[in-house]
Amino acid sequence: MPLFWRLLLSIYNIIIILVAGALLAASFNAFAPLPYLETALNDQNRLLTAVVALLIIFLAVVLLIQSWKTFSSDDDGIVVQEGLLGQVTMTVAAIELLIMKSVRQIDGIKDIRPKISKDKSGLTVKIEMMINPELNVPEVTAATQKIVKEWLENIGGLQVNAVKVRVDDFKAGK
Amino acid sequence: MEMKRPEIANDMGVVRIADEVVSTVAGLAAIEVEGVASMSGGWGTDLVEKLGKKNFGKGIRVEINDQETSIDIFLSIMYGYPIPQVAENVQKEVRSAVEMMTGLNVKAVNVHIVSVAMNKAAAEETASDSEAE
Repeated sequence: MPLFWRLLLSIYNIIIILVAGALLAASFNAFAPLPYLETALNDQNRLLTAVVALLIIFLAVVLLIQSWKTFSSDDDGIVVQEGLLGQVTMTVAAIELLIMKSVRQIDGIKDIRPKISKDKSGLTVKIEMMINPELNVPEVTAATQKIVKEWLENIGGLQVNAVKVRVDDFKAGK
Repeated sequence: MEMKRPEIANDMGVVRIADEVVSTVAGLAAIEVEGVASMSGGWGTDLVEKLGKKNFGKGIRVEINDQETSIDIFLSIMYGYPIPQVAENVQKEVRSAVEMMTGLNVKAVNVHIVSVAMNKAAAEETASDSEAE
C-alpha cells in the first residue's frame, strides 16, 4: 500500500480509537460526553460538526473502495515484452519470488530481502542478505549477482541494469 | 463511450456471447499451456473455489468492444520455465481458442505474471499469498 493511503488509514484508525476510547470511558462513568455533544451541536458549531462528519464519511468511503481494489490495479507490473499479440507484464512480487528461488541455489545464504526499482533502461535489484560467516563474502556476493542477473534475463526476459548486494548480517549453521 | 456487444445474426435470430463464456474459454486454453502453474483470481474467487464451485474463468478479464476483444490474464508460472516463451504460448493459445470457438476478433491478450511456483500444488498457495499482500 502506498505511503499516502497508509497515512489516510492511520488518521482514520486514530479517529476510530479516540471515539471508541471516549465510549469506553463514558461507559465506566469516567467521562461525560453529553456536554461536548451539546457544544458540538449548538447553533454556532453545528456547521463545523457537519463538515467534520462529512470528511470522516468521505475518508471511510475512499478507504473502503481502496481496500477492495484488486492486486492488479495497485501493482501495474514490469513489462517483459510487448508485441502484436499483446503485453506481458510481471508483478514486483513475482520478480522478488523468482530472485529468492534463484538464490537458493547458492549454499551459505541464510536469508535474503530483494527490492526492485525500475526505470526506462531496466531493473535495478537491491538485495539485503544474511550469510554463513565461514564463507568468503566477495565470492558469495559475486555469485549472487551473477545468478540473479542470469535468471532475470534468461528466465524472466527482463533487462537488468544492476544487482546491488548488501550483506546485513552473518548467521552460522545450516 | 457506449459498449456494443458483438452479435452473430442469421435467419433464425441472433447469437450473443457473454463475457463469462470468453473468460472460460480463455482460462481453459491458458491452463493447458506448459509452464503455467495456475490462474490467479483474487481471494474472493479462491474462497468460492474452496467451497466447491469451480471457476474456469478465474484470473481472466475480458473487454469486448464492438468487434474487438481484449483479454487480460493473471497467472502463476512454474519455476524454471522461460517466462517470455510461456507467456507467448499463452497469448497464442488463448487467441486461437477464443477466435476459433467464439468467432470474436481478439485484438490483444495481455499476460500478467503475478507469481512463480515450484509445483502446481504450491502455485495455488503462492498466488493467494501474493494477492493477500
